Amino acid sequence: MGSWPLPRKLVPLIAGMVLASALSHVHAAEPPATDFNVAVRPFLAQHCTKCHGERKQAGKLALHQLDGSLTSEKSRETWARIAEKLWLGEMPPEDEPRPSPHASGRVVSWLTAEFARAGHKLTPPPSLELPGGGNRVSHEAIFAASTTPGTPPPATAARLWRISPQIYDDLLRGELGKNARGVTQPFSALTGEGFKDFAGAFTVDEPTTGLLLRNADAIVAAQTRFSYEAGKFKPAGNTMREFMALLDTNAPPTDVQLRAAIERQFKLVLRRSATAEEQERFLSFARKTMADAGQVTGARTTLAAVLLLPEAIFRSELGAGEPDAHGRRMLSSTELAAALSFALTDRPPDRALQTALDKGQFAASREAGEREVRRILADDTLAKPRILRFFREFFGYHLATEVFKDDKENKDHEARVLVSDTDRLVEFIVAQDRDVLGELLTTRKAFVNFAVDFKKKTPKRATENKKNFHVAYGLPADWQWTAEQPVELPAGQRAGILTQPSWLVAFSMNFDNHPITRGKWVRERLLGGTVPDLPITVDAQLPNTPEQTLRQRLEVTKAEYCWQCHQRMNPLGLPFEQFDHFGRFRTTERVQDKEATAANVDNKGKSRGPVFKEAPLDTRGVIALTGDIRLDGDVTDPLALIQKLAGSERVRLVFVRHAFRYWMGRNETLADAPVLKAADRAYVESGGSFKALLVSLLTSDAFLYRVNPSSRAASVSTAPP
Amino acid sequence: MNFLTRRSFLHGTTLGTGTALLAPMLQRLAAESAGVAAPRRFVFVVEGNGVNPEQVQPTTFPRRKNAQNQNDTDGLVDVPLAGHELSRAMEPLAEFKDRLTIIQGLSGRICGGGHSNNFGALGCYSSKKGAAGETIDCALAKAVPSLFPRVGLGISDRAEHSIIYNISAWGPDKAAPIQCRPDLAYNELFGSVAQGAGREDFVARGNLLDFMVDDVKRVERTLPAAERERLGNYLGAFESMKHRHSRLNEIQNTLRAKAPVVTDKFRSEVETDRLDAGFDIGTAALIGGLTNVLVLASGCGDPFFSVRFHGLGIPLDKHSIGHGKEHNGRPWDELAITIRRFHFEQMARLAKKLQAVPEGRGTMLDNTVIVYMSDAAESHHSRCWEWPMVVLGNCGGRLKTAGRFLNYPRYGHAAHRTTANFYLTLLEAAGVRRDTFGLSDPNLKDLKLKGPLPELLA
Repeated sequence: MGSWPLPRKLVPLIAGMVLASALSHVHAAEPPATDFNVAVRPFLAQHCTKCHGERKQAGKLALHQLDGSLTSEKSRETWARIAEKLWLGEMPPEDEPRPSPHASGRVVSWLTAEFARAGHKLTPPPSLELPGGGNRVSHEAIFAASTTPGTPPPATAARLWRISPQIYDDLLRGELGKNARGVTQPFSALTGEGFKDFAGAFTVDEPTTGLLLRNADAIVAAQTRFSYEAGKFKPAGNTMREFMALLDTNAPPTDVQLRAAIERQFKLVLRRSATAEEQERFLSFARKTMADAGQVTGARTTLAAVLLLPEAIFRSELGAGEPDAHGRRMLSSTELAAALSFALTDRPPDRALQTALDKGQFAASREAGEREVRRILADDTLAKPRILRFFREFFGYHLATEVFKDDKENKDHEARVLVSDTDRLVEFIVAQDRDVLGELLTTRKAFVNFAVDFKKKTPKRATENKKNFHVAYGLPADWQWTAEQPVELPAGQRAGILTQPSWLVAFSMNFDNHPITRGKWVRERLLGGTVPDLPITVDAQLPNTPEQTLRQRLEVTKAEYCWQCHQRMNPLGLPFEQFDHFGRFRTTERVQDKEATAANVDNKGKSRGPVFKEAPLDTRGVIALTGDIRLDGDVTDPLALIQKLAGSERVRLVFVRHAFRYWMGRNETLADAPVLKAADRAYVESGGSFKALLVSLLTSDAFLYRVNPSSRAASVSTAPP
Repeated sequence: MNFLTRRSFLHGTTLGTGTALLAPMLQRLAAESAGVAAPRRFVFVVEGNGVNPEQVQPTTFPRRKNAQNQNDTDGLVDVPLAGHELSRAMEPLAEFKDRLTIIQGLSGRICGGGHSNNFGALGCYSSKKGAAGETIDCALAKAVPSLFPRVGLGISDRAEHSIIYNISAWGPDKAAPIQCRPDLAYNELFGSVAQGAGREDFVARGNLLDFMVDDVKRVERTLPAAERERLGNYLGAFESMKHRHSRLNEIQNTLRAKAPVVTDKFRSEVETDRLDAGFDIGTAALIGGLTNVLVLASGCGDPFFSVRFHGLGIPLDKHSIGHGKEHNGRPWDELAITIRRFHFEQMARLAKKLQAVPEGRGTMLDNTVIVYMSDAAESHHSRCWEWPMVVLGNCGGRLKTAGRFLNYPRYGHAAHRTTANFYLTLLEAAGVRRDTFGLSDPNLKDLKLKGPLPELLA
């Protein structure tokens, strides 16, 4: 952590999130929004120089002599450090008087503008822009009864969003990828746990571009297969007339034929016509390349170029038309149609929407958007993989397959099926569409070894090989598989996803439970809290004492330095000790019997291996530091913990915040408060309908409106404190 | 992810290989007097379907194994090769015996095993889900930059495969290709001096890159400032490729001198011909200074491994050979040894060519290390208990590989080591110090498995 002390705040500061919105509103060319002597110097004097000043230089940092100049590299380094701490709400320390969010915001606004004037760019710490960073925005401030004066109305910054690996896959499965060989996925998703597809997370680098280029070659090669038989040009089967017209060297293509092929490729790749300007540009490119490199190679290269256009790689969400009074522009009709389709499916607009778009019958508006969302949600023939993916990435249970387990220890473990069972449960609850979050957290129902036969559409066992697979769910060994699912699990053992074996395995280690990551998950996903990353100086190791329970071994984290962070995780994860690391319910914990092991030797004194004994199980935990006193308190076991969480308004609101992030592809800011409140209201008033929540989010200002960050700078930076 | 940004790429080529490309030979000779170290080069010859440990074990040094035919050595064995005879498969490398090290007993259990460990073989992870992380060839390529950071050539079980993605990756979901069509590989590397279709492809690619640079710039101008940067990387990628393309044009004289002769083998139906051509092209790319990292992959990756070596008179596919089938009375192991021997012949040919090119006070071979291994560890249905490696060359004196046989002790023994330790050794030779590579084997968590193999480092 360097020389700055660890962040000690218990709840994220309001500062962080105002900065997040304030900052994105300052543009490079803007004049300094606030004068150094008015907004910055007094701030430093009030909040910083006591510890970083003339008399004391905590962390070897002195700020009392700073002037407003950013010309030297050293001064920029210092200021960037200050901005980061303010951004993250890590300074001043929490036991000092807190600055108002606006005071901090003005400092960062000023800094951003000054950096720009000096020809440099001040960017928020990456952790703020990635999925995990959303919790830094104060929960209390978002859901406060009144909004902070001067907060702009909701809108998302105009953006390009690199298409997801799934969208690319889907594209290749369609007409475009037909017969193409040697095509590979060029895009990656965010790794690890959490949401995978954030608009700000990706650019396209050189290896990726290399793959895109080779894929384009391979796709076009498949589109333009032909041969000559007895000197006569012969198209391969399943090829398009427009492309074949380019390839016969005995009959070079006319401009009309070239235009038709270009148009066809635009339609296939971009699902729109080429503009007149594009037609001209591509035609002249085709003519030049055919002249330089021959007819066939030139034609193929022209078709490949369409596949590489930025529009084919990035979703455009820039907004169109006249800006409103707040500088916001609604997504264009094409953009909105695409945004809605990609929100729920991995595909561009379906035929109905595309036709409406082509005929000018779909014009971007909130009402038109809502009609489409409702239509897509109601249409069972349209696959909507994005919904299940949200729950997977929110809960993280699908990561069970990534945790290596020694099959000697449990021959019936099959992570893949545990995951698909939970998928079915999620789909079942989402289809019921009543109190969805509550059900997900508390249901005693489960699908067990359940799959649907792809052809016959009838239920079947997902695995035939693992005879006692169902024991992971607490079902007796002689349990008979049934097609009537979900089934009720034994009373008093399970409550929802967090007690599904898939989730427990996903948050386990190779040979043990992982109370720390489980607690971290609860802290972040349900309580909306934050836990700093493990400091790089810490080599986290549990003692190798197999005669102790895991809870006892975790006592090392109670050292003062460790406990600052671990107090936010361990007490929330330890109740799940109720289950072993394969997710099986248990009532005692197995530990090594030290004496018996020492005595277990053969007549030559060589060890015959460890001997185990049962130790009492302790499933107690504590909910604390949540910011909601109704939630805080001790719990006896995982079911008590979950019951408490499931009944909490805060947990529901945090869930809504996560849904917002997933569907907007970005973290929320304070400005999004009205959208989040409306989404929550829609969810509550509909009796916990996830569809209602979705409709609310996908028709919100944050979804519909785009704003050019620079155009709003003035209104924010001059807002009254 | 952006291991080659526009700036770092241009920087790298200008200061490093860029100058070397102008006159590689002179440059190499001048290198020493100028005090500039010669580039370090890494070659991987990866043969599919496993390397049976017996087939690379010196015949005069019987292998210690348990009832399951697994390595059962107790403690590290480190003996000079000088007193021992190479196996029949390895005979083609006899003249390099004093530069060779045979390594037995490294495990790679984390990869999972099977017909192939795919990306995991060079990446030390399970690649059930494809390219889950960086592989060693790509990691090295970042350490020893060149105009083509890494060149991958090889053969697949089907002649119509032009490019496959099987064993290399720049990072998660960033597979790096193996070019299986020698003619296309030639065009990509030597296209500026190619004739006919090759020249056409090269010219068309240049036009495409120009077009894309213009087009992306045009779109960039319409964007708000914040999003321009996002497109900037895409633009940078095209600019960097364009730069490489122009360099290939500028160094036509060099390329003409170093390019392999285009023969019928480039489009041959016979696998051995295409592999032979791949070795020729790859060697020429090294000698021409186009790359410092070369991967030659022969039938690697699932489902590309079941190659038939018609050129060696073996019409039986490698999958069947792996399952113990015989052909014309020749038992499976004899067939496998014949095929392996062919690969060692190719490797020897490559080494000889490098040895013929002076560099500094020695030859190019002195600054190179060639690793022979399989993507399928120790057998056709590999389980990765052990992963035989044959290492030729010492990478400019950074490795101690002069005629040694190293056998690491059995899996789980305190002195046992994994393929990751070997890869970390290569990285160290490339000037990169790392503690871990890929994922560690949880069953070996009590062993001290960080860092390179000290006994192999000079």
